Amino acid sequence: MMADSTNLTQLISDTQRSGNWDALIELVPYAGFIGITAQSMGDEILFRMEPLESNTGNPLLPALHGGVIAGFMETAATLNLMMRLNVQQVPKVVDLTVDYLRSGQLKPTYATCVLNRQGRRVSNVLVSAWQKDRETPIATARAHFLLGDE
Amino acid sequence: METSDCHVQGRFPPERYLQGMTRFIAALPQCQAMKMRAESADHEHVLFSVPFAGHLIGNAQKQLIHGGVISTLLDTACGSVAVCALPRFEMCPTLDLRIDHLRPAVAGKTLYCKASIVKVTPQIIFTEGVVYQEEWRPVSRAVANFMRLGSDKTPVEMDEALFGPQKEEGE
Repeated sequence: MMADSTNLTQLISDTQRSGNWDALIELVPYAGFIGITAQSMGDEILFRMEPLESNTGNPLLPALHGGVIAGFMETAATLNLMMRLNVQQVPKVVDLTVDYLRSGQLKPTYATCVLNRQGRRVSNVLVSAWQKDRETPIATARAHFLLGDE
Repeated sequence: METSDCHVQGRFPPERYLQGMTRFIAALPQCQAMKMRAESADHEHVLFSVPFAGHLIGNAQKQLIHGGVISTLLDTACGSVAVCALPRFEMCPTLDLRIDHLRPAVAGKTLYCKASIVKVTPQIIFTEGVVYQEEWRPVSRAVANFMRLGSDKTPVEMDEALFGPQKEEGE
Protein backbone atom coordinates (compact mmCIF):
# COMPACT_ATOMS: atom_id res chain seq x y z
CA MET A 1 0.00 0.00 0.00
CA MET A 2 1.41 3.38 -1.01
CA ALA A 3 0.37 6.71 0.37
CA ASP A 4 1.29 10.20 -0.73
CA SER A 5 1.56 13.00 1.82
CA THR A 6 -2.12 14.01 1.68
CA ASN A 7 -3.10 10.39 2.18
CA LEU A 8 -0.74 10.15 5.13
CA THR A 9 -2.24 13.24 6.80
CA GLN A 10 -5.69 11.76 6.18
CA LEU A 11 -4.62 8.39 7.54
CA ILE A 12 -3.26 10.00 10.71
CA SER A 13 -6.43 11.96 11.37
CA ASP A 14 -8.52 8.83 10.68
CA THR A 15 -6.44 6.93 13.22
CA GLN A 16 -6.78 9.74 15.75
CA ARG A 17 -10.53 9.71 15.30
CA SER A 18 -11.20 5.96 15.15
CA GLY A 19 -8.44 4.71 17.44
CA ASN A 20 -7.87 1.92 14.91
CA TRP A 21 -4.16 1.75 14.10
CA ASP A 22 -4.21 -1.06 11.53
CA ALA A 23 -3.97 1.07 8.37
CA LEU A 24 -1.19 3.25 9.77
CA ILE A 25 0.87 0.26 10.95
CA GLU A 26 0.39 -1.40 7.55
CA LEU A 27 2.56 1.37 6.13
CA VAL A 28 5.41 -0.14 8.14
CA PRO A 29 5.78 -3.79 7.02
CA TYR A 30 8.60 -4.33 9.54
CA ALA A 31 6.14 -3.52 12.36
CA GLY A 32 4.09 -6.53 11.26
CA PHE A 33 7.21 -8.67 11.03
CA ILE A 34 8.00 -8.17 14.74
CA GLY A 35 4.33 -8.00 15.83
CA ILE A 36 3.71 -4.38 16.85
CA THR A 37 0.26 -3.00 17.68
CA ALA A 38 -0.79 0.30 19.25
CA GLN A 39 -3.60 1.65 21.31
CA SER A 40 -4.50 5.22 22.30
CA MET A 41 -5.21 5.49 26.02
CA GLY A 42 -6.30 9.00 26.88
CA ASP A 43 -3.31 11.28 26.39
CA GLU A 44 -0.94 8.39 25.96
CA ILE A 45 -0.21 5.90 23.22
CA LEU A 46 0.63 2.41 24.38
CA PHE A 47 2.67 0.26 21.99
CA ARG A 48 2.81 -3.51 22.29
CA MET A 49 5.05 -6.15 20.75
CA GLU A 50 3.82 -9.73 20.62
CA PRO A 51 6.06 -12.49 22.03
CA LEU A 52 6.86 -14.01 18.63
CA GLU A 53 9.31 -16.87 18.75
CA SER A 54 11.11 -15.32 15.78
CA ASN A 55 11.89 -12.24 17.91
CA THR A 56 14.26 -14.14 20.18
CA GLY A 57 18.00 -13.67 20.04
CA ASN A 58 18.96 -16.09 22.78
CA PRO A 59 17.05 -19.35 22.40
CA LEU A 60 18.46 -20.81 25.65
CA LEU A 61 16.92 -18.33 28.09
CA PRO A 62 14.87 -17.50 25.87
CA ALA A 63 15.38 -13.75 25.52
CA LEU A 64 14.29 -11.18 22.95
CA HIS A 65 16.96 -10.04 20.50
CA GLY A 66 18.38 -6.65 21.53
CA GLY A 67 18.04 -5.44 17.95
CA VAL A 68 14.33 -6.26 17.95
CA ILE A 69 13.86 -4.31 21.20
CA ALA A 70 15.62 -1.37 19.51
CA GLY A 71 13.43 -1.78 16.40
CA PHE A 72 10.30 -1.83 18.55
CA MET A 73 11.34 1.33 20.39
CA GLU A 74 12.25 3.16 17.19
CA THR A 75 8.89 2.23 15.65
CA ALA A 76 7.05 3.39 18.78
CA ALA A 77 8.91 6.72 18.71
CA THR A 78 8.18 7.23 15.00
CA LEU A 79 4.46 6.41 15.20
CA ASN A 80 4.12 8.46 18.38
CA LEU A 81 5.59 11.51 16.58
CA MET A 82 3.36 11.03 13.56
CA MET A 83 0.27 11.03 15.74
CA ARG A 84 1.35 13.92 17.95
CA LEU A 85 2.51 16.26 15.20
CA ASN A 86 0.20 15.43 12.32
CA VAL A 87 3.18 15.13 10.03
CA GLN A 88 2.92 14.93 6.27
CA GLN A 89 5.87 12.58 5.96
CA VAL A 90 7.28 9.78 8.01
CA PRO A 91 9.87 11.38 10.35
CA LYS A 92 13.46 10.32 9.68
CA VAL A 93 15.44 8.82 12.55
CA VAL A 94 18.80 10.58 12.91
CA ASP A 95 20.21 8.65 15.83
CA LEU A 96 19.08 6.15 18.42
CA THR A 97 20.64 5.21 21.75
CA VAL A 98 19.36 2.17 23.62
CA ASP A 99 20.32 1.23 27.17
CA TYR A 100 19.55 -2.40 27.98
CA LEU A 101 18.55 -2.72 31.62
CA ARG A 102 17.17 -6.25 31.89
CA SER A 103 16.90 -9.19 29.54
CA GLY A 104 13.62 -9.21 27.62
CA GLN A 105 11.65 -12.38 28.21
CA LEU A 106 9.47 -14.05 25.62
CA LYS A 107 6.28 -12.28 26.69
CA PRO A 108 4.39 -9.16 25.59
CA THR A 109 6.53 -6.01 25.67
CA TYR A 110 5.09 -2.51 26.04
CA ALA A 111 6.47 0.92 25.24
CA THR A 112 5.48 4.53 25.76
CA CYS A 113 7.16 7.70 24.51
CA VAL A 114 7.79 11.18 25.82
CA LEU A 115 8.31 14.01 23.36
CA ASN A 116 11.19 15.61 25.20
CA ARG A 117 11.63 18.57 22.94
CA GLN A 118 10.00 19.60 19.71
CA GLY A 119 12.05 22.04 17.66
CA ARG A 120 11.27 23.42 14.24
CA ARG A 121 13.14 20.65 12.46
CA VAL A 122 14.33 18.17 15.04
CA SER A 123 12.48 16.20 17.73
CA ASN A 124 13.97 14.51 20.75
CA VAL A 125 11.99 11.50 21.96
CA LEU A 126 12.44 9.28 25.01
CA VAL A 127 11.12 5.72 24.94
CA SER A 128 10.67 3.28 27.79
CA ALA A 129 9.98 -0.44 27.23
CA TRP A 130 8.79 -2.81 29.92
CA GLN A 131 7.16 -6.21 30.47
CA LYS A 132 6.22 -6.78 34.10
CA ASP A 133 5.46 -3.19 35.06
CA ARG A 134 6.41 0.30 34.01
CA GLU A 135 8.65 0.83 36.99
CA THR A 136 11.02 -1.95 35.91
CA PRO A 137 11.82 -1.16 32.26
CA ILE A 138 13.81 -3.69 30.22
CA ALA A 139 15.24 -0.85 28.11
CA THR A 140 15.18 2.90 27.71
CA ALA A 141 15.99 4.77 24.53
CA ARG A 142 16.53 8.27 23.24
CA ALA A 143 16.23 9.27 19.61
CA HIS A 144 16.41 12.33 17.38
CA PHE A 145 14.12 12.66 14.39
CA LEU A 146 14.18 15.00 11.44
CA LEU A 147 10.81 16.26 10.28
CA GLY A 148 9.98 17.08 6.69
CA ASP A 149 12.39 17.15 3.76
CA GLU A 150 16.16 17.59 3.94
CA MET B 1 40.20 -17.07 35.02
CA GLU B 2 42.90 -17.37 32.40
CA THR B 3 45.70 -14.86 32.52
CA SER B 4 45.06 -13.55 29.04
CA ASP B 5 41.50 -12.30 28.88
CA CYS B 6 42.29 -9.96 26.03
CA HIS B 7 42.46 -10.60 22.33
CA VAL B 8 46.21 -10.55 21.84
CA GLN B 9 46.03 -12.86 18.89
CA GLY B 10 43.48 -15.15 17.33
CA ARG B 11 42.85 -18.65 18.60
CA PHE B 12 42.15 -20.14 15.18
CA PRO B 13 42.54 -19.51 11.46
CA PRO B 14 39.75 -17.29 10.02
CA GLU B 15 37.85 -20.29 8.53
CA ARG B 16 37.13 -21.56 12.03
CA TYR B 17 35.89 -18.19 13.20
CA LEU B 18 33.64 -18.03 10.16
CA GLN B 19 32.32 -21.52 10.81
CA GLY B 20 31.73 -20.59 14.48
CA MET B 21 29.83 -17.43 13.52
CA THR B 22 27.77 -19.32 10.94
CA ARG B 23 26.73 -21.76 13.69
CA PHE B 24 26.13 -18.88 16.11
CA ILE B 25 23.75 -17.03 13.77
CA ALA B 26 21.96 -20.27 12.91
CA ALA B 27 21.01 -20.57 16.60
CA LEU B 28 19.43 -17.09 16.80
CA PRO B 29 15.77 -17.15 15.65
CA GLN B 30 15.52 -13.44 14.74
CA CYS B 31 18.67 -13.69 12.61
CA GLN B 32 17.23 -16.75 10.88
CA ALA B 33 13.99 -14.87 10.22
CA MET B 34 16.09 -12.15 8.56
CA LYS B 35 18.25 -14.69 6.68
CA MET B 36 21.40 -13.18 8.18
CA ARG B 37 24.72 -14.63 6.99
CA ALA B 38 28.29 -14.54 8.25
CA GLU B 39 30.53 -13.56 5.32
CA SER B 40 33.89 -13.42 7.10
CA ALA B 41 35.24 -13.46 10.66
CA ASP B 42 38.40 -13.41 12.71
CA HIS B 43 39.30 -12.41 16.28
CA GLU B 44 38.98 -8.67 15.58
CA HIS B 45 36.42 -8.25 12.79
CA VAL B 46 33.28 -9.85 11.42
CA LEU B 47 31.33 -9.14 8.25
CA PHE B 48 27.64 -10.11 8.27
CA SER B 49 24.90 -9.56 5.69
CA VAL B 50 21.10 -9.46 5.44
CA PRO B 51 19.49 -9.89 2.00
CA PHE B 52 16.59 -7.59 1.17
CA ALA B 53 13.03 -8.81 1.83
CA GLY B 54 9.70 -7.01 1.69
CA HIS B 55 8.96 -7.40 5.41
CA LEU B 56 12.12 -5.43 6.25
CA ILE B 57 10.63 -2.21 4.84
CA GLY B 58 9.99 0.57 7.34
CA ASN B 59 8.80 3.30 5.02
CA ALA B 60 6.52 1.99 2.28
CA GLN B 61 6.07 5.49 0.85
CA LYS B 62 9.77 5.84 0.07
CA GLN B 63 10.70 2.14 -0.03
CA LEU B 64 13.30 2.30 2.73
CA ILE B 65 14.53 -0.45 5.04
CA HIS B 66 13.52 -0.07 8.70
CA GLY B 67 16.06 1.09 11.30
CA GLY B 68 15.19 -1.98 13.38
CA VAL B 69 16.75 -4.22 10.74
CA ILE B 70 19.92 -2.15 11.02
CA SER B 71 19.79 -2.31 14.84
CA THR B 72 19.50 -6.09 14.76
CA LEU B 73 22.31 -6.46 12.23
CA LEU B 74 24.56 -4.15 14.29
CA ASP B 75 23.72 -5.74 17.64
CA THR B 76 24.35 -9.22 16.23
CA ALA B 77 27.59 -8.36 14.42
CA CYS B 78 29.02 -6.33 17.32
CA GLY B 79 28.01 -9.03 19.83
CA SER B 80 29.59 -11.67 17.59
CA VAL B 81 32.92 -9.90 17.25
CA ALA B 82 32.90 -9.54 21.05
CA VAL B 83 32.60 -13.33 21.32
CA CYS B 84 35.38 -13.87 18.76
CA ALA B 85 37.79 -11.68 20.73
CA LEU B 86 37.51 -13.76 23.92
CA PRO B 87 39.81 -16.58 24.96
CA ARG B 88 36.71 -18.74 25.41
CA PHE B 89 33.02 -18.27 24.63
CA GLU B 90 31.09 -16.23 27.19
CA MET B 91 27.57 -14.91 27.23
CA CYS B 92 27.81 -11.18 26.50
CA PRO B 93 24.56 -9.25 26.86
CA THR B 94 24.37 -5.81 25.24
CA LEU B 95 24.79 -2.92 27.65
CA ASP B 96 24.07 -0.19 25.16
CA LEU B 97 23.81 0.40 21.46
CA ARG B 98 24.21 3.88 19.93
CA ILE B 99 23.45 4.29 16.24
CA ASP B 100 23.82 7.21 13.82
CA HIS B 101 21.79 6.89 10.65
CA LEU B 102 23.85 8.61 7.96
CA ARG B 103 21.81 7.86 4.86
CA PRO B 104 18.71 5.81 4.11
CA ALA B 105 18.95 2.06 3.45
CA VAL B 106 17.10 1.47 0.21
CA ALA B 107 14.85 -1.48 -0.69
CA GLY B 108 16.18 -4.14 -3.02
CA LYS B 109 19.79 -4.15 -1.87
CA THR B 110 21.66 -6.37 0.58
CA LEU B 111 22.81 -4.79 3.87
CA TYR B 112 26.33 -5.50 5.11
CA CYS B 113 27.72 -4.87 8.57
CA LYS B 114 31.38 -4.81 9.46
CA ALA B 115 31.96 -4.93 13.22
CA SER B 116 35.29 -4.45 14.98
CA ILE B 117 36.72 -4.82 18.44
CA VAL B 118 37.79 -1.59 20.11
CA LYS B 119 38.87 -2.93 23.48
CA VAL B 120 38.41 -5.99 25.67
CA THR B 121 38.58 -5.60 29.45
CA PRO B 122 37.87 -8.21 32.15
CA GLN B 123 34.31 -6.85 32.56
CA ILE B 124 33.34 -4.97 29.41
CA ILE B 125 33.89 -5.36 25.67
CA PHE B 126 33.84 -2.21 23.51
CA THR B 127 32.94 -2.59 19.84
CA GLU B 128 31.97 -0.51 16.83
CA GLY B 129 30.19 -1.29 13.60
CA VAL B 130 29.32 0.17 10.25
CA VAL B 131 26.44 -0.78 7.97
CA TYR B 132 26.51 -0.24 4.22
CA GLN B 133 24.87 -1.34 0.99
CA GLU B 134 27.70 -0.14 -1.25
CA GLU B 135 31.19 -0.17 0.12
CA TRP B 136 32.51 3.26 1.23
CA ARG B 137 28.97 4.64 1.46
CA PRO B 138 28.02 4.01 5.08
CA VAL B 139 24.30 3.80 5.84
CA SER B 140 24.75 3.74 9.63
CA ARG B 141 27.51 3.55 12.18
CA ALA B 142 27.31 2.40 15.76
CA VAL B 143 29.08 1.91 19.03
CA ALA B 144 28.02 -1.04 21.18
CA ASN B 145 29.26 -2.17 24.58
CA PHE B 146 28.80 -5.64 26.02
CA MET B 147 29.08 -7.09 29.50
CA ARG B 148 31.11 -10.25 30.10
CA LEU B 149 29.24 -12.77 32.24
CA GLY B 150 32.42 -14.84 32.64
CA SER B 151 33.21 -18.24 31.18
CA ASP B 152 32.17 -19.88 34.48
CA LYS B 153 28.59 -18.68 33.83
CA THR B 154 28.56 -20.14 30.31
CA PRO B 155 28.27 -23.88 29.59
CA VAL B 156 31.71 -25.18 28.52
CA GLU B 157 30.14 -27.16 25.65
CA MET B 158 29.11 -23.93 23.96
CA ASP B 159 32.65 -23.01 23.00
CA GLU B 160 33.15 -26.47 21.53
CA ALA B 161 29.75 -26.36 19.80
CA LEU B 162 30.68 -23.10 18.08
CA PHE B 163 34.36 -23.39 17.34
CA GLY B 164 34.95 -27.13 17.58
CA PRO B 165 35.57 -29.33 14.53
CA GLN B 166 32.69 -30.50 12.38
CA LYS B 167 31.00 -33.56 13.87
CA GLU B 168 31.21 -36.73 11.77
CA GLU B 169 27.90 -38.08 10.64
CA GLY B 170 26.23 -40.36 13.19
CA GLU B 171 28.26 -38.97 16.08
